[in-house]
Amino acid sequence: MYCSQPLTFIKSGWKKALIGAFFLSGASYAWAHDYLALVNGEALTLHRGHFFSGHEGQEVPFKAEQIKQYLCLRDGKVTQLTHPSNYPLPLDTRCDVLRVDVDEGIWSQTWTKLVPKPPAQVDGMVLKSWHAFEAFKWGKPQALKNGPLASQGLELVVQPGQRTFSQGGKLRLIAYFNGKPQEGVKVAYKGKFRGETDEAGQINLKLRQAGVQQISASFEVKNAEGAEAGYRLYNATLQFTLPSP
Amino acid sequence: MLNKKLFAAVLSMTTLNAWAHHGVAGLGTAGLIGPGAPVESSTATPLPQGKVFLYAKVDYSAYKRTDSNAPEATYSQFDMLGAGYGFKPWLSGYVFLPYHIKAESSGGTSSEGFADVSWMVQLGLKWDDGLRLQPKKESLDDWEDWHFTLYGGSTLPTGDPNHRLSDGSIDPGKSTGYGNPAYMVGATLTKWWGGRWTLNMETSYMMFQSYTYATGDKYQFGNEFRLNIAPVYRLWSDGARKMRLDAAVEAQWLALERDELNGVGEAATGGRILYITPGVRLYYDNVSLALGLKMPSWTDLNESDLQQGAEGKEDYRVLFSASYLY
Repeated sequence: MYCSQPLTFIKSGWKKALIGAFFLSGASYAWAHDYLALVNGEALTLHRGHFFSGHEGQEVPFKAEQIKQYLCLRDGKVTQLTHPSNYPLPLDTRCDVLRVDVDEGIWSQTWTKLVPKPPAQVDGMVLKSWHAFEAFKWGKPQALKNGPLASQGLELVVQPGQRTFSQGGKLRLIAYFNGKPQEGVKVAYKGKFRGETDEAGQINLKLRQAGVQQISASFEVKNAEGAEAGYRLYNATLQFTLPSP
Repeated sequence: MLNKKLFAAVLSMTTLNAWAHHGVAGLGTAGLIGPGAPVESSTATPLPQGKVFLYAKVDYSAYKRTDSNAPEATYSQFDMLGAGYGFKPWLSGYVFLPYHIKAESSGGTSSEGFADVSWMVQLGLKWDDGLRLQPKKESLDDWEDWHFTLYGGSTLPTGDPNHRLSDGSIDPGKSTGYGNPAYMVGATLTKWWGGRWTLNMETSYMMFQSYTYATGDKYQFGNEFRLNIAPVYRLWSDGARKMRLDAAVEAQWLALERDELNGVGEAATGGRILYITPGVRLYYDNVSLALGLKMPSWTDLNESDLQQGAEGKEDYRVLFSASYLY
């Protein structure tokens, strides 16, 4: 079912990175779902699961109603597409860049378990709760300099000054949150925590291997008192393929 | 008449040797697994913008004796207090206050006191698709780039060049000040390969001015050139405990020009020394502690037999430093 190559490239070091991210942020969301585009025959489909984190290999399908938007950048124009309702979600590779937003729902962390419910519906003490949002982005490398595609949520964009994409070279990114560059976004490359964005929202990563590139980012915002969850957690994934030299 | 003894070269050796900070304390994202720092040499890591750096160092130097019946240098202790501030991510400033103890055996003359205050500014650079200033924040991948610093500064004549010893004499080598500013320029390089190894290099040149002492004699210390190379290995780190332990070995080359008294080259001064300094550095949260053993492993002193108590004639030196960043 899965294309094995993308799964193996990210496994190494991911757990350590998650532990590091957990320690650095003090949050429990390091155990959030992973999003991964996989080649299925001629098609490219979007999967959700624990491919890199706990329960490695376990797929956790999302429902069609959780998809909040399905954006396509083509010929310089962003359009909202009607998304298919089947899972795994087919991705329209005619687009230069695609962004799929998924509402992950509200999660509560207790001393012993992570529960996909608001704190009010959880028995016992809740250490932390958050409403999680995922923005998965796939694209052709040069087209990833366009953006952000949406003015809401978290999104990784390649800096306009990025001249080439090459193995061993730098990938220069800007993390946008609600349409503006955001400082303090935690970024991981192929399962390894690499740092946080600066005040201009920028971070540089090294493209260490050819093939599928997977960059993930997260940023949390504290909710006001009385909200259903303590935090809003925004995750963004950027995926593209770097040809072998 | 100056009571010129053999401490002359020793006076200068730690006043500015510790100008640049030696390993930024503080384990941020990069600190846990990023580039390491040697025990004594400066690294190419400017202070983070807006951060204050506090520093203390003890350098205990025990000298080889040549004549147990004659008054000879037995030990020196060079203490240092310092403070730094990150004005910009690429610009740091430091001030240091040294305290020196220079002890001789029975019958000799010892001295002790605060020496010249020194200051330094450090410019941080890196090579990332071209030469650029040190940015405010870097990813771990950015830390694999070549990092450089250029630094410069001077001593200020706050000490007492005419410090009188117990017999009433003045020995420039035991005075607590140079009388005039001494200037220093230097550069550092740090390269981290993304794993446990870091390479650190430093070079510096220190220039002295002549000073006319209360005796009427004009004395000038010889200029000093240093080149340090240090591989650093990360032995252990623990993110949960915010701790890290590094091991380092420094090769430190020191070339001392001959001193001059009233325009004439002074005997028993100057030479070349290669020190080897193995050591460890422990980080705990915002504190960094370093301990090293510095040994002259090769020397070519101008008049070696006459230079007891000078650099290169140590039996051993123990270095300890503590730094704190907030």
